[in-house]
Amino acid sequence: MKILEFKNVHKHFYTKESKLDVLNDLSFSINEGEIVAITGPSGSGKSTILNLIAKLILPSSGEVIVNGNIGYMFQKDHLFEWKNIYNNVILGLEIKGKTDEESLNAVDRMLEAYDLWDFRLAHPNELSGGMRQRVALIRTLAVNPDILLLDEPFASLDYQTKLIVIEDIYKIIKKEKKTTIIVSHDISEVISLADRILVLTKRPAEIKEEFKIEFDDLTPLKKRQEHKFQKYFEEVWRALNDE
Amino acid sequence: MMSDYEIIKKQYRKRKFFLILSQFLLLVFVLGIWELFAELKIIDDFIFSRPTAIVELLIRYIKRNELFNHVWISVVETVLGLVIGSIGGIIVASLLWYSKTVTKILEPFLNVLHALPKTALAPIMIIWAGAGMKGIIVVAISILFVITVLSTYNHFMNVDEEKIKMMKSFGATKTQIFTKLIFPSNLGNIASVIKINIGMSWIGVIVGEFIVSREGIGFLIMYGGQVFRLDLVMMGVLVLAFCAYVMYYIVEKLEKWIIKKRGEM
Repeated sequence: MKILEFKNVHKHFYTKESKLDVLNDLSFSINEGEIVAITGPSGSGKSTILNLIAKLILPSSGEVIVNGNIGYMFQKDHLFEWKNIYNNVILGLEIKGKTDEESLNAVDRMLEAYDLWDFRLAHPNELSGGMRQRVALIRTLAVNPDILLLDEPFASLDYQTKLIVIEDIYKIIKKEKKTTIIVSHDISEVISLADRILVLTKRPAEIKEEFKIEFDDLTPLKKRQEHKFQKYFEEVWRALNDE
Repeated sequence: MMSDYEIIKKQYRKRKFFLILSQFLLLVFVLGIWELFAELKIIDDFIFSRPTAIVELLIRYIKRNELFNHVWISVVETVLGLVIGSIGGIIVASLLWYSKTVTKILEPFLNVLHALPKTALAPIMIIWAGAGMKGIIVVAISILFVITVLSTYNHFMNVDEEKIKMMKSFGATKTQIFTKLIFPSNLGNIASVIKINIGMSWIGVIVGEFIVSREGIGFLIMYGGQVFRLDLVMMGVLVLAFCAYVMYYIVEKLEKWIIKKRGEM
């Protein structure tokens, strides 16, 4: 079932001097439960696509159909230093006025399941980068979104931490069965996470190529050791780099 | 056997004691030189006064119960100026944060008011608000209000755009963004604005008292200057420094207490 669809979407911005075309006639759709990665050259409008899905901006023309709620996660964790972990996690629920027992139980369950229960009264500065990112993900999942948007969520982590956090986050996404759209320019990262990769052209962005990534039921780290991984890497690399 | 922690604590205490001792000695040294120069007639104590004369006068004023009233009047004026000006300024800054258009319209006026030396307006303020306590408080407010608005507004605008975006992705309203993010993340900045305002409020009060008043520390200083009683002027300045420091200390304690309370959230 389609949970998200872009139909001939154009988006341009006006700067003081000129008109900037960012997206050009972009059409694609995403099915429920899929993990789709969007990658492309820097400045190719990847984040614009997420902002359109989250309805933070509107398309200049065309249509964006979203069947469900959005959860948005960023490169930085944006935890509030003055709140403890628990109160950070329920921020979204507070904003939506949905601090009912069911939602709070779900929060408790996730804090326990993802090894943060003992830290629920700690403050963000007491946590490692990887833990903070997990907290940010649980904050996003607490409002029970149907679609998860990840905007370069691992870019600020060092390589070691990144591999571990990707492993963690992948497990969480799979366990919570969330449709996920991840924007990243890291080829290995998107291959190890996604079921499908959309490669964008330079601005104004169109879809240049699409890859289906098929591994047997493996975790991101295990995928990296597969022979196929290298093959996918070369294909995506070529798609990104040839003119 | 002492634990490492105890040793470090002891070292820390030692260092603190050393710093306080040095500060004390520095003060004694400067005052001693002053007293000595006056004694040796290297400086004219009619113009420069001398520490012992100032202290004697201070004791006399306290004994005759004349000091307290002056200090009380000035402190009340300063605190009222500080509280009204700061709260008013923060409220206006918050309203400006809500409306970019209003901010754009008001910007040049605020900048002119900011650049203007507010003490130049003090006589007008006193004519408008009335000679006496009310006029003096208005002078104090006029000095710190605009700068409070501008700096608080700047702090509000400096909050990470992406944090705001994160809140919007949860469907946050503008009021929620303000109360849950903008204001709490700027508590520390607001505290430093208020600390700077203490000094500004004192400037306003002293200038106000110079222009019109029969009481207050500013009056004492002004009067002392007019009758060439330099010991009185110096005493006024000394009392003023003490009061300003106590207020600063209280605000700082209050700030630490609030930050700590917030940390328990």
